[in-house]
Amino acid sequence: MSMPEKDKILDHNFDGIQEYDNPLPRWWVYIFWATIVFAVLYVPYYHFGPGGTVADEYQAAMKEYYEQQSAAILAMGEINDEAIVTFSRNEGAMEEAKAIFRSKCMACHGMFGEGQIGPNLTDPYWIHGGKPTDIYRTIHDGVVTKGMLAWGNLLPPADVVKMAGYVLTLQGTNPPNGKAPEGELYQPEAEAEGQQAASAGDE
Amino acid sequence: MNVQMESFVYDDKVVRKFVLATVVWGIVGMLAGLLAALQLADPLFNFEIPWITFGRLRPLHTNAVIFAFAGNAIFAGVYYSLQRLLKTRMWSDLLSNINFWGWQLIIVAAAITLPLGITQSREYAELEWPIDIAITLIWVVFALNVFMTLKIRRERHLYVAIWFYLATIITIAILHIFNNLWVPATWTDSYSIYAGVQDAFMQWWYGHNAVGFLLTTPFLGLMYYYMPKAANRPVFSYKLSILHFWTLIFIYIWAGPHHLHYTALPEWASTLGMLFSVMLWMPSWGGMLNGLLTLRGAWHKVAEDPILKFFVVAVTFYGMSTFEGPLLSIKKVNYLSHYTDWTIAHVHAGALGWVGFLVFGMLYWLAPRIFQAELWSKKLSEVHFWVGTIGILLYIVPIYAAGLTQGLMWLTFDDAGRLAYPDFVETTQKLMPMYWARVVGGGLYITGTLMCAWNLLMTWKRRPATYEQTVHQAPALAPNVRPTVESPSDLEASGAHVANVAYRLEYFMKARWHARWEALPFFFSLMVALAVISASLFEIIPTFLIKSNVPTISSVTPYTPLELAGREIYISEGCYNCHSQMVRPIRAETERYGEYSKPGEFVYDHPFQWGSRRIGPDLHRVGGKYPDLWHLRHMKDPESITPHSIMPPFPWLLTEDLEYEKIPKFMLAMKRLGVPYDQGELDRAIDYARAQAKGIADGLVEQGETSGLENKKIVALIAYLQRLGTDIKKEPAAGTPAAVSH
Ligand code: HEC
Repeated sequence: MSMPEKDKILDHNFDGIQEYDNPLPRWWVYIFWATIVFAVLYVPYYHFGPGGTVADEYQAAMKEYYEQQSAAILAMGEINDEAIVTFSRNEGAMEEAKAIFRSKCMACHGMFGEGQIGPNLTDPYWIHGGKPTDIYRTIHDGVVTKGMLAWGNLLPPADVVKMAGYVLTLQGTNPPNGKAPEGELYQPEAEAEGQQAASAGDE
Repeated sequence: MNVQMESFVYDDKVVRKFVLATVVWGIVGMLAGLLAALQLADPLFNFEIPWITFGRLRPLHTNAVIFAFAGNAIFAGVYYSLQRLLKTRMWSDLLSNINFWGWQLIIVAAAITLPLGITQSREYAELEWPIDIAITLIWVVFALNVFMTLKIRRERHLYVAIWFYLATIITIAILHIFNNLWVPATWTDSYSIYAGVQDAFMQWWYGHNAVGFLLTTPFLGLMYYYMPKAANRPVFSYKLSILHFWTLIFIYIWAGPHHLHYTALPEWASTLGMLFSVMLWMPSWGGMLNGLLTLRGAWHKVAEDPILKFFVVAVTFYGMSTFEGPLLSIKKVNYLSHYTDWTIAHVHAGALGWVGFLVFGMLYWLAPRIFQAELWSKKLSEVHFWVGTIGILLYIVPIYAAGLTQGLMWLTFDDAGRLAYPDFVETTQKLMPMYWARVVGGGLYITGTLMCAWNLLMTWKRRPATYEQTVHQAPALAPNVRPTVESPSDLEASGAHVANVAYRLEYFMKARWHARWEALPFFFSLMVALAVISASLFEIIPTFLIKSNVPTISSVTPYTPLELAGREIYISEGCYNCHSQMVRPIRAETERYGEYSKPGEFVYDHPFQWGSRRIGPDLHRVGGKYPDLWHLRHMKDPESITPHSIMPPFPWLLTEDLEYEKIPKFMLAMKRLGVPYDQGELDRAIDYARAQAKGIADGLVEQGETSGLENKKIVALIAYLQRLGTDIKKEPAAGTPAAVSH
């Protein structure tokens, strides 16, 4: 260090320890003042000026996000059976949906949709309806009394549609340890042919 | 001149005892830390043993290394140096011994109660109220002994080391008392009189300043004695000592709220915490400079003396940590670092590097003097230095990396504006290699500590049959005369001193006022207390008085009796060591956890449970997120529900009985604190609790679980978890469960 070393020893002595009368290092004093000046300027800038508070920052981030989302919803068009089936055939979308499934749904429905706490999603039996829009509604509104959450509040809108599509792709995959079927049988073909087959619900 | 000489002998026996305790508790505390590190690398190491599961072990580790290892080291170092700096024996050998044995008893009490889950859950102040009282008493004994020794001193002026000792004694007393104001519910439970936002504020006022006045000021004091002694060099600058001492203790006190950035704490407090932390940088570095520059002209000695090596590395780490602290306190940095391992790396740089190495250097310097025999192996102490240094680096470097990695993963979005890593466990899995590296680093550090223990033991074995009692001589303290002729004034020659202002300025700049203060220890202590108390009050008063700090939310109601019992279990198991309950207003967090936390949601939280580290996800909005059955299975065996989870299993919660009869006591204590339970609710608390428990247990049976769970702890915990963060979603005052609504 290039400090002016006067090395004047003070004339006291504590158990053999002595002290120099050296001045404060200049840079130390300057930085100390700089931090004080910083503190004095910070308050007016962030609390009363253009800097903005934590709350302002959060609002701005949310606004940006909502704008992005509303664009995505407009691009999606109307949500009907067809739209959901189309999604279920979109490989990219299904890759993303699989990741969401593994992070949010797996806890109750098992890794492959085989059912655990929640019902089996791979068999054709449905407690709250098996039409693509029924599935969409179940995901969106949840079945709160039984523990199924209203994911419409938790996922971006486009993702809820994707998840409905993903559930369709699980049909008939027959994973190991499947939970016993619950609810009513639903067969898409039968529906198309005429109403007759869907009669025997409670097995 | 003929002065009457007085003879006296120093008490080194008590120093030897404190040295022994330092080493023994150091090993215990560090081993607890090593086990905790293993548990995070693989939850297998919880062994499903309640007493050592992570949530209970981590407080044991922190308390042991702070109060037992560092605490005993402080006593050892102070008792040795104070007598010599004041040229007198300690005032009372009895008090010295009460100090020693009392402190060890407190440590033993901590080592028994913390594993049993008896805790206040306030970080570094976990010990329950009877132990708090014992700590207060022993601290008073220590203070009395020191002040009386000051009174009988034979050295007029107090050396800088003693200024730091006094600041420690006074401030720790203030912190300990005002952070531990509670209402006991039973012998082993108590509630902080503060709630929510205010409790968090007080806790971190304490927590931060405990670091300041237990791990910083006493060790600076020790540095000022042992470093110039070991180097045999004068201290670099007396003026710097004065300036950095006063600025340090005054500014330190304000900085606590930097632990609560982006939380429900009012933003003005958080800003104050940040700005004072930034201003604290140079006062801290004053100590580092005075340490390192004292070695000018002695660097050649450092190469051959392991003691000086320990000191140099210690002071260097002090400098690093006190630069990093202000950095971490900047809100934008804290945005990333908060709740991550970055904080863990930061404290371990300080604890292992600064505190640990200063203690080791001091122990090696003391050993030959207190055991009156040459150190058994200088070589081994040299090896200890290198093993320890490598250990520190292997610990902190991976943990810095872990902190950055996880912090960034939590905040990253993909192109569609969704979280890039929505799965929490994915972010913990990434850290596993770093956690294993930490185990190795920590293991090396402990190996070094064991070498030190062995070396001291062998040195002790060489001690003489009876210790020689050196008789010292010094004149009694002469009356305090204010020097009438000041040392020659620079102004005198120019004649400017006739201007009173200039004279006063010079008086101030030459620090003559301070030389007077140093001769008056009680006045000096008073000034320290004033500095610390006034700085505290500037923040505390507005925190408590400004109503708009905590806007009320009418739908927020007190916990039901069963939920309250569940909360006790949450506290007792130390869930707060891994889980925060504070969603910050940051989109990456509201996306992951839900609506950010509001100050008004915590008005019944005695004590607050905001946490400081997210080893697991935030739990403030976990209420209603999963079905009861999910929680049951998850608590029993987390990995079966969340593969690769590092949360320990808590199977005993499914088998241990819930102590229903304690619930009215909990409620009564809460009522005393102003939580609006009425007498009817108190009288029927157990019935309410049983009814709610039955509801949960019946639901679980319906879903295929065994019956009889309504008597087990798990239902209370589930009730609490399901309540968390749900009040703001409710319509105000609809019939809440068990009718505890107002
Ligand atoms: C060693 C740290 C640790 C401790 C102690 C701990 N947890 Fe966890 N916890 C985790 C981790 C990691 C996760 C994430 C992985 C998982 O879901 O198991 C987690 C997840 C959870 C979840 C699920 C949160 C969500 O949103 O998915 C809950 C609920 C929970 N813990 C409750 C508790 C309770 C109650 C306790 C105390 C009895 C506790 N934890 C103790 C680490 C811990």
